[in-house]
Amino acid sequence: MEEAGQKPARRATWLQLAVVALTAIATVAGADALLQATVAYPPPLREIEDAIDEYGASDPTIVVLGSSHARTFGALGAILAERTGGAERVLNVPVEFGKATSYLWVIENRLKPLIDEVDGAGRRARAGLRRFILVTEWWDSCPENADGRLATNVPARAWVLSDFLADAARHGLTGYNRNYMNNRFTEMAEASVLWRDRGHDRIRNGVQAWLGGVAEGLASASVERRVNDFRRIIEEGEACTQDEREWRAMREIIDFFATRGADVTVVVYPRMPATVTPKSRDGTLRVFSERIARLASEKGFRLTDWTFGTPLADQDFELDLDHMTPEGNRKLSEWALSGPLAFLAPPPGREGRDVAGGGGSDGAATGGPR
Amino acid sequence: MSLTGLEFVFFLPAVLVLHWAGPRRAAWQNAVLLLASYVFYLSWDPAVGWAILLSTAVDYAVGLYLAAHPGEGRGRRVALGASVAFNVGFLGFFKYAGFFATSLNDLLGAVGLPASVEVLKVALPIGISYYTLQKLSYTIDLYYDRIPACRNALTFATFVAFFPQIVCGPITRARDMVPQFSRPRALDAETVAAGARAFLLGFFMKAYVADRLGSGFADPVFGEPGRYGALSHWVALLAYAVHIFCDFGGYSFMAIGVGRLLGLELPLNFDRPFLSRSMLEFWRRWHITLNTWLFDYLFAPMVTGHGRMRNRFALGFMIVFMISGLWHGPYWTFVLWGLLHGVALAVNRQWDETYKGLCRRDRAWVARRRSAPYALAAWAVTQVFFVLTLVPFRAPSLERAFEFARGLFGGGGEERMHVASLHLAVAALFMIAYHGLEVGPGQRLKGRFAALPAPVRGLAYGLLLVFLLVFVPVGESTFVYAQF
Repeated sequence: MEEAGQKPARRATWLQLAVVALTAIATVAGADALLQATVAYPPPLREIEDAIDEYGASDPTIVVLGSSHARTFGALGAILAERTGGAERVLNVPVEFGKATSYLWVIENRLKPLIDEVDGAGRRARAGLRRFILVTEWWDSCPENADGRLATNVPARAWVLSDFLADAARHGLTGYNRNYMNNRFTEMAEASVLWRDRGHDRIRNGVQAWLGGVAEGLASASVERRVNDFRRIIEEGEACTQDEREWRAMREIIDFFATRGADVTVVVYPRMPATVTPKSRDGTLRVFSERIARLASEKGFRLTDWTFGTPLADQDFELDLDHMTPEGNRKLSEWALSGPLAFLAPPPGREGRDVAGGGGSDGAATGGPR
Repeated sequence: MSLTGLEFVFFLPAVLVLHWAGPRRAAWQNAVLLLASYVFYLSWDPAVGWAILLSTAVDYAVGLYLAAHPGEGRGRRVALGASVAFNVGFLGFFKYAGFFATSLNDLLGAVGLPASVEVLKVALPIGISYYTLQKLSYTIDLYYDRIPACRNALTFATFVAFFPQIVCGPITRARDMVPQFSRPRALDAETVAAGARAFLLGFFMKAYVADRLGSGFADPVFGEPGRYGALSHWVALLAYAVHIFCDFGGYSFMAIGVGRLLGLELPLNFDRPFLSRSMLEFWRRWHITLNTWLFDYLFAPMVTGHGRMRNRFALGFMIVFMISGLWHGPYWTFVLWGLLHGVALAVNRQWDETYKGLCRRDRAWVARRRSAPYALAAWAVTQVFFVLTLVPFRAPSLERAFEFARGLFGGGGEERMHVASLHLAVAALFMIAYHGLEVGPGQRLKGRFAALPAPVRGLAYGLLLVFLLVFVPVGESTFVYAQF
């Protein structure tokens, strides 16, 4: 690589320049095609936009909203649809890296227009919605930004062009609104494995495996380090779980669906057992569970706390220690539908009988911190 | 907007097309550049866009006045004084008002008096530290008849706001840039090739080396010095040295590269600083445009003028580097950093003077100075000193700086950072290659690469791009020097 201040040994011509540029582009394209054929890559993850597109077409009966954890309910939805012959249609809305305030933004700006849309006669254009499930955990109650702006996942995953332009006109191009552009570009460049892999490291891990080594992210020392980091993050989270702005958003979310006649259930998502320590069990996780339970009593929604007590083991979780494997998702879904969420698929003849009109329910908390 | 940002991938080609596809006239090219520069500038913070407009207008008017009043009249002195007062006041208000108010309140508190100075919270216009110095050099040079006035408002505004360098420099001079902006630029393959190479080098330095080392190795230990052991402290400090060099040097090379793609040559800002064998040499290789500015407009007039500072080199170094420290930011850590470097330069100069005396008495000292052990020792002392002074430069407070310094010598915690990393190895290789290409075998290697057939070079650049696509970290990437 030549240094900027120096002149090269011989002068370049336009032809040489074109050949260098074209060869470089061909090399990148060739590498991309080669990797496409050799690196196993899962289909793109479901995003808010997918859910919004689906909403109009499917008129769901159950809306599941949460962070990336909401994707677990894709498996549950499939099982439920099969059991009910398609009568129950689950729409999961995953707000990647979400917070309560992010969920509320998605509801107010993306879901509300669909939910409240009326036809010519003034009736709801989509009348299917009967239940709402909020998937949450302690992280959702921690504030993201000291500057009072919503979490960065909102521009990245929930904005549309007009949101971006309005923000850029007001603040300039910032790291915050740049998340919108980056994400849109990633979607545009989905055909390129090199671009799509950014942040996922599958190529790097694959190359390292091919070379006979253990990928940095898969080495046992690395996994152990990440487990310890995760433990520390959860342990230190107690101080942030009382953010009033997030809790206020949580209440508004509940109220939004309750006032629209949906039966509200809040699910506290399970943690990978290895990441939980006695300190986090008695601290962060208990504090959050107790507060959400108080909110359930106050608001009268159904709470099912899966922090502990699910049949999940460490191997049911991905290497990111936060999300479940496809098998783990199915295992959890089967368990939930035969236990705490059994009311979603009642035995034949009892469909709909437990649906409370105003979002109230028996308020029974299943699971709960133990 | 950032030179490494995704939006720049669309912005730069659009500017290049408009710039080169239009009429080959300076007015058109400057109009395109000015528009692009203001879009680029406003993209950082539209609310303070007025600052650059006002600042440009003031010095343009001062320039016209100075041009219209040749000689040594009082009016010229007033005009220059107005320009200096405006620029220093403008910079001082935005950058230092809070610092001085807070420091005064702390002082009042220390003697038992209530804090009585209101601390203003104002947004710092991006690039103000850079374009203020550029404009000051213009009016000072004009006053001393070193350059002619720039009478064309479009040319002057483009010189002030030129987008590749407005955020982090290089700090250009009117004598170098105004003539370039005043004539139509022509497109030639050699300049485009050199620009693309410089941009790619800068991008690699910033987006890969700096970002990987900063977040992966320096930030964790500087963030929690008490948690890590001595080895981790040293690794973090060395990683930070490479990080800051690649961050700022990378930006400078990218700016130079974009300049060349537009047919303009910006000055070199970094010249292999880690080869330096004295602090005097180091500061001729690191942030060259700031240091030449400080030496030309502060140090030289101070120690060669007729005032009390005449020939007081040691004090001059200390004053200039304290100002340099404060230029980096209104924090006591930067003042300490500047003071340390001022002292080092004073010691360096005294050592040189003493050594010259030894050489005059006995020529054996000349041979000793040219020996490899002397060179190695001088290099080691210089580099270790520079790296150690990065502790206050990087630390968020003096307390944290001392805590980190203790950690270097075993006063920290037990935890060890994971250092068996591909990125650390690549960064080390890059630093060796970058500096090594300057010396004999390295230069030959560089020549051989340039002589390779075009498809082979294209393949090499393509593989580099693949590497960058795989390994450049995802996420927001800010330039450290954009904060200064």
